[in-house]
This record gives sequence, structure tokens and C-alpha cells, in this order.
Amino acid sequence: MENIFVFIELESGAITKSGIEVLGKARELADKYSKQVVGLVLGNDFNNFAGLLDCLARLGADEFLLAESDKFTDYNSEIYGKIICGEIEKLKPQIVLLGSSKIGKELAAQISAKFLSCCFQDCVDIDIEGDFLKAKRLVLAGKAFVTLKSKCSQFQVATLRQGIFQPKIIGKDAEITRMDVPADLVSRIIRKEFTGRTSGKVSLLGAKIIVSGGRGMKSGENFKILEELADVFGGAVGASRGAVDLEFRVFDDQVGLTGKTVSPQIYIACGISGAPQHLAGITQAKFIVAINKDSGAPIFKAADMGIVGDLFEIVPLLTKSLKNLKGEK
Amino acid sequence: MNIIVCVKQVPDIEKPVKIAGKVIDESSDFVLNPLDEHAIQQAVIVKEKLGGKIIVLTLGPERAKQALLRCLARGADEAIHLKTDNDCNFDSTAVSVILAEKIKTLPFDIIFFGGKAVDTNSGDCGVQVAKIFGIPCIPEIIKLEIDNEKVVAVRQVDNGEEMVECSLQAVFTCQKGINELSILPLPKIMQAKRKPLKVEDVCVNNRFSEIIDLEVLPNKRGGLILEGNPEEQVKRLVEIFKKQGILRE
Ligand SMILES: Cc1cc2nc3c(=O)[nH]c(=O)nc-3n(C[C@H](O)[C@H](O)[C@H](O)COP(=O)(O)OP(=O)(O)OC[C@H]3O[C@@H](n4cnc5c(N)ncnc54)[C@H](O)[C@@H]3O)c2cc1C
Repeated sequence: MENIFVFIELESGAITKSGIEVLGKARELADKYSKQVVGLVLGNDFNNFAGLLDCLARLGADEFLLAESDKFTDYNSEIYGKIICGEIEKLKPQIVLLGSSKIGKELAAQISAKFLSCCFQDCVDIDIEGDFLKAKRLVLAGKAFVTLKSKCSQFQVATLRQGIFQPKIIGKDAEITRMDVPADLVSRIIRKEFTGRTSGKVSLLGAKIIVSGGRGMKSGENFKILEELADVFGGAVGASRGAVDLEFRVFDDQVGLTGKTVSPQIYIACGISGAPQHLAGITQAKFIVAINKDSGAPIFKAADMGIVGDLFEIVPLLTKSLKNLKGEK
Repeated sequence: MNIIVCVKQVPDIEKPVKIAGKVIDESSDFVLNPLDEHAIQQAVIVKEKLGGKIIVLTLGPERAKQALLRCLARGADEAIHLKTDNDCNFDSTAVSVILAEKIKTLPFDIIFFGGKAVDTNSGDCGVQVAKIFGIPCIPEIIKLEIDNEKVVAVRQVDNGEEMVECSLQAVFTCQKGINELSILPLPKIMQAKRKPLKVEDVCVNNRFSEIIDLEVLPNKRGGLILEGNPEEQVKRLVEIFKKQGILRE
């Protein structure tokens, strides 16, 4: 039976939401086309995360490979790439799936170069036709969808966009195998420093509601009103490049061409003009609301609903009425 | 320092996208990929500090020459145009294999790419070329310091920024923020035309994927502007949210 190989990223010892989704999709394809799902997890000190293994076992894989080493505590592209490509070489899977985080994408590109195969990044849909992977992706600054079909029958690589694919819980525990990890893992890349930079509490990727602010917010402090609005929904706060450049928010919050591509149910853009580079990140939002004082701002053409007005008046009013509504219930 | 910069010509995304069949309509406006412009600028910054030579490389049809001329104007010393007639858009592996084949014949310490191209939205090629050569790649850097064979770079990662050190040879892909682009003065644009630009015909035989369909997303958005005073506007918006059922939990 052909294999679908899934690399599962951990974050502080826990499986990521994206990892769960990728496993879910892999299971779905495996059931449909009778294939095996083999998952690979790299980490350090699995025994300290006992719950992790129990949780992993039922997420869709037939088998899990665990690779344990203190070298895996922090991501290193060379070391991770070497271990993953080594396993892929042994297993010769038909398909390799990863989440479309920066790590996932980087590893995907490495795998495709190593095995000379296709590389489909950040897919919103995938399927198998005959022996070949078919994938749908957002291209041309979010303005078009391309559907691609692989010409390789092995090692076909794809990363899946977060928040689109459904997790699965299966009844049977996956077999868990501990891998031998070479002791002499070295890299020419050495991490010197890491600065964690999430100022918003809820992550933009996968958020159902996103409230974003632009240069029109005037200051970083003023983003408080957006946080209050986002809190009502349990949503996330994003920003335009304009706001990030002025240091109102950190880059991690940036939405758009050079920032994050998001797909929430509702996107509320406050004091954002709607430059094509910003719109590139939000074409997959189900419903876009624009609040801007300039009726000629291009954001209104890209929105489902617009309010021409002062955001400092509209946003608090909106927060208040939503809170009242919640209070009634 | 021998520096290679790989660039790409892309459709201008500030304009509406035009598609002909399964590919970009050739009557579209094309520009140098914005992040590649930062890549060439970074090469110039490195050369100014350490000396050396910058070769800029592209794979693309006839029109891609314009992108090379822009790089020459920014400060590249030489350009190589790997000319194709079949555009291998969306097949990053095919592109990387051909780029690597050419780069193999050139001396280099550093290769720069743009972080990703606005048309394919993948950012694969830098990582792939590095893997083909078995050298380190630091993608999406926003800072770079080079001193005596040692390089310190800051890259954007999923939840923050990472500062790493690495040895050369290496590949770096450039993210916005790494440098400021100066305005190109006319004399430089004129001089660029006199710099060496080699054209080599290549055939992309080895394809790893094919395009089945390319469709522009319709703009389905209503663009409805809510009338009334702020209270009325907000009231209508809340009604809409209620209808969408997102206020339930
Ligand atoms: C290569 C490249 C990549 C880029 N990548 C990105 C990206 O990833 N993401 C991104 O966002 N941009 C990106 N940009 C930048 C983009 O082109 C715009 O410059 C940027 O999006 C503008 O940000 P803004 O809308 O906040 O600011 P502005 O364009 O200045 O708009 C501010 C808006 O706020 C409104 N406003 C002001 N005060 C109020 C008020 N009190 N109430 C209501 N409205 C008010 C104004 O009417 C105006 O429309 C990129 C650019 C390039 C060249």
C-alpha cells in the first residue's frame, strides 16, 4: 500500500492545530484511496508530554515515528531537513503533507528539491487523481486560484493552509515507533537569539473573526479599542503594513502580501485604505467590513459592507452594542 | 564577494489580473518582483562594504529582460537571461533545477532571492537551490551583517524573529524591511543598457507539475455602504452579524 507521509510540527511540546488538520486530510485521502498514513514527529523529551502521545495516536495516522533529540528543541532547517528527508528516502511515500507554517513551507521546498518532485504550497484543497496529486492554491496576490497537477508519481509534496481542513478522531490507536536518531547532528546554521513577538492573544491564522487596524489608528495605544472589539467575539487583532511600519503593532500581526494570508468568517478593517498588497491577504475572508472616514478609499470596493465614518466613534459603539446583545442572552 | 541574485518578472498586481487560458495574458503589465528589488539592493549593500561582483540571473520569456535591466540599473555588474518560450510558472522545482544548473558554472559566495514572488506566492526557489547545492538557506531575512566569512542574519519565523549565524556559501531570501529602496536616477537606467547582458536559450524539459486551471476570483463583494448616523450604521451592522450567526456562542 502506498504511503502518505505527514510531518507534524510541535509547539511547546503540543501538537499544533495545523498538524491535526493535516492528519485529518491525510486520513480522509487514505480512506478514500486505500493508503497508509505515516506521521513523523520531531521533539525533545517526549516522556514529559505523555498526554501528547495519547492524543497523537487517534488523530488519523496508522503509524507514528517519533524522533527524539535535544537537537530538536528549536527548529533548525538543516537538521530537521536531514532527518525528514532521511525518513522519506527510506519510506518512499507517494505523498508528503505538511502544515503551511513557515517551517512547513521551508521543509516542503527542501523535500521537493531533494527528491525532485512537485511542491504545492499553502493549498486550500487537494485530491488524488490516479497516482497524481491535484492541488488548488491562491496565487497572483490572492486574485486567482490555480489548480495544479503533479507529474511525479512519488514524493509529491504539499503544504495545507490552516483553518480549512477538518480534524478527524479515529477509533484505532496508531502504532508508535521510536526512531534511532544519529548522534552527530550538526548544522552550519546556529540560532543566536529568538524574540517571540505575538502581541495579540489570539492567533490570526485560523481565527474566525479578525479586527485589523491601519495607519488610521494613529497610535499603538489606540489599538486597545480593536482588542476590545475582537474580545467580544474571541477574535484576533491584525494590522496593515502601514500600522506595522509605524510600530503600532509587531510584524507578526501584519496581514497581506508580505504578512499573513487569513481566512476568517468576518474581517473588520479599521482605518485601512485597502492597498492591493493588503487585500492580497484577505481575499479568502467570508465577509469583509470596512470602517474608513474617506468614502473614496479602495477598501470599500473590496468589502461586503462599509461604514464611512470616524473609526474612533464607530468601533466603541459597535463594541458596546455587541456587548449589550451578549448581555441580553 | 561573488554575489548572485536570482530575480523574476511578475505581473503588476496593482493592476487587474488578465488571464488567457491557463496562463497570464501577455498583454498584462509586468514588473520586477517587488521583493527581488530588495534582493538586488541587498547585494549592492554587501558589495559596497566588501567589494566583489554581482551577477543577476533570471529565467523567463523575452520580456523578462526588462527586469534584468532594472537590476543592472540598481547596481548589478552583469546579467544572464535564461530565455524560455514556455513559461514554467507555478512549477518551482523546474525553475530551481535550471537556475542551479547555471549557477553551478559561476563562482559564488552568496545567492540572494526575493522572499517570494507575488504571482506564485510560494517562496520555494531559494530553499530549493540551496538544497540542490547542499548549502544553508536563511529565508525571509530582515537584517544581514557579513564579516570575514561569518554571517549574522535575522529572519522572520512563525511566532517571532530569529537571529542566526551561518557560514558561506549560503542562500538568503529577502523580506520587506531588509533595506530601503532608493529612487533610480535616469543616468543609472541609461547606463544599465551598456552593461553586459547575456542571453542563453533554455528549454524547460523537466516539468514536475502542470496547470489544470487558472481562474480569477470574481469580486463578489457587495460593497454596500451603510447609511445613517453612527448609531444607525452600527445597529445595521450588528443585525447583519446576528443574521450570520456568529454571535451565538
Ligand atoms: C512589496 C510590498 C509589500 C507590501 N506588503 C504589505 C502587506 O503585507 N500588508 C499591508 O497591509 N501592506 C503591504 N504593503 C503596503 C501597502 O502598499 C500600503 O502602503 C499599506 O497597506 C497602507 O497601510 P494603511 O492602509 O494602514 O495606511 P494608509 O494607506 O495610509 O490608509 C490609512 C487609512 O485610514 C483612514 N483613516 C484615517 N483616520 C481615520 C479615522 N479616524 N477613522 C476612519 N478611517 C481613518 C484613511 O482614510 C486611510 O484610508 C506592501 C507594499 C509593498 C511595496
